Amino acid sequence: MQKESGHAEYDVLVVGGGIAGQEAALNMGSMGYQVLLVEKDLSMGGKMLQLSKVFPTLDCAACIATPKVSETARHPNITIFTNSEMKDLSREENGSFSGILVKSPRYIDEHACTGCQDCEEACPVIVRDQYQYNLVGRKAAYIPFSIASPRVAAIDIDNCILCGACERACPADAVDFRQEKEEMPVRVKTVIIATGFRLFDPTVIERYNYRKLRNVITSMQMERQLVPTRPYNNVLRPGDGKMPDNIAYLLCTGSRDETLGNPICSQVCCMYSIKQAQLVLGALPMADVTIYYIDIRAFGKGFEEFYRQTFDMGVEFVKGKVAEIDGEEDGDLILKYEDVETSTIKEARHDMVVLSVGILANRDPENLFTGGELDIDEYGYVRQPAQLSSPASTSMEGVFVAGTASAPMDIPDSISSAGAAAAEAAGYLRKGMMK
Amino acid sequence: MPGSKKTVDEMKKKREVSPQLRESLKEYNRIRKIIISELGSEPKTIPEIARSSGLEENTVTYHLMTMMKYGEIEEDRMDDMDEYYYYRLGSD
Repeated sequence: MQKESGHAEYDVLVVGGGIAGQEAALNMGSMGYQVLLVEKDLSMGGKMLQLSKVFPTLDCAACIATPKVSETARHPNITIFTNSEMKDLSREENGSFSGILVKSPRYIDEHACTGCQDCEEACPVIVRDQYQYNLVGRKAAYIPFSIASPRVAAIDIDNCILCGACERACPADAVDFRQEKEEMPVRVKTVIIATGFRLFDPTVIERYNYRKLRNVITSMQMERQLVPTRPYNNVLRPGDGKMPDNIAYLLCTGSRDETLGNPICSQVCCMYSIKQAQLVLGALPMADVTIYYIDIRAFGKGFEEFYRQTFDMGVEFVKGKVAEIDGEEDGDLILKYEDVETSTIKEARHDMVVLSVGILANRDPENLFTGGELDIDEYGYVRQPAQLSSPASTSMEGVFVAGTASAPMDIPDSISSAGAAAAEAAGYLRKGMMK
Repeated sequence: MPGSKKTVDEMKKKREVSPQLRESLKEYNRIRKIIISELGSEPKTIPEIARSSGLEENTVTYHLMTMMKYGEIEEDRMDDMDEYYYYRLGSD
């Protein structure tokens, strides 16, 4: 990092520290470029760090993701800011971009904190744990999750009762309530947008009664129930702690649905649901699993075989869209659906329902640059004006897109896309930036 | 020396703690005490705790699982129908 005219200078700014952002940063860093990686969350890693296993190989997601996180964190050419965002990015006359890096306070001295969790033990506050998708509570002084990077505590100031217990308990004197928002001017030559995606919020579909019926959960809540650092002691119903034995998956929840404004396929829901069905059968060998689908889209390498394997394991596939979910006194759920194969309206009883929620665009890139120069497509993703010839290019010269910031895609495609974005950004820098 | 500084006092000059936050903390502790008292005599399942305390089953699940995360509660055996776990107070 060089400092000129008060600006910290880097070759490339990578916005987002998920799997795509890390891959792009590592590629750029390994080519010798100085990289500034800005992540808005308290930890690097994005959504992949929250997953149990990946399809179709059933490799442990954290076992793949954490070495990459560590490599990114230790890379000599990559400077990382977590809990931070970029604002007022604008192009200068020479083609560089200048902007302000805003680092929000975590009220912990990141260099002093040892991650011992004494503050967490001392904190008396309990609020819903967003990293466990609200299935359990967490403290207001907390390490976000066990494999967080940096593995450093943070104080959730909005939920803090200012009792000072964390400060008294900290053996490293790392708690610092005097911290304030820091703003640093930054100049970069090129930008890679890797802001990832949002998950569809199923409360929008009122007839599914998500949140009202406690045993209707999202696929991310099930994903958390399947990881070693799970919120419960087994896969259980949040409504009453019962071990479910008849689980339904509803594919395309929030995807391929014109009425919800998201007519496109999320690319991953069929396969992650099939993967979860296999994992559920591993955790609960006596359980029945039924997958309600419109079409099974098993299009990638090894996907069709993985789907067939799930079929052979006894998972039932029902072609039909579920219209409504109602609750019974005992917490069981009644699904009303159209069986497309027989064109009949049917009802089925399950004791737990998983909504396979789709991927939506993260709208953050819309406001990344001043002047609205960055084109966004009709679904809210960063537009790729030359998707076939130059897939990482955007409407702005010198600005590239990686991973699900451009469209829904799975993990291998996100990593490939990030590689392409790094290659295009490096080519742009080698050519001498703007023509 | 650890705990020697008190920067929280400076934050107290800038922020106020909302009454809702204090109320929800009080509610958590109220339920936590009920669960501890319910499990004081013998291990119970979540529906058993709910029935005898009058709490909602999902409220018991959330609080009990949070208490288990922080080591206050441990898993015991399963019931005869293999449906519900029994839980007991943690040994610490």
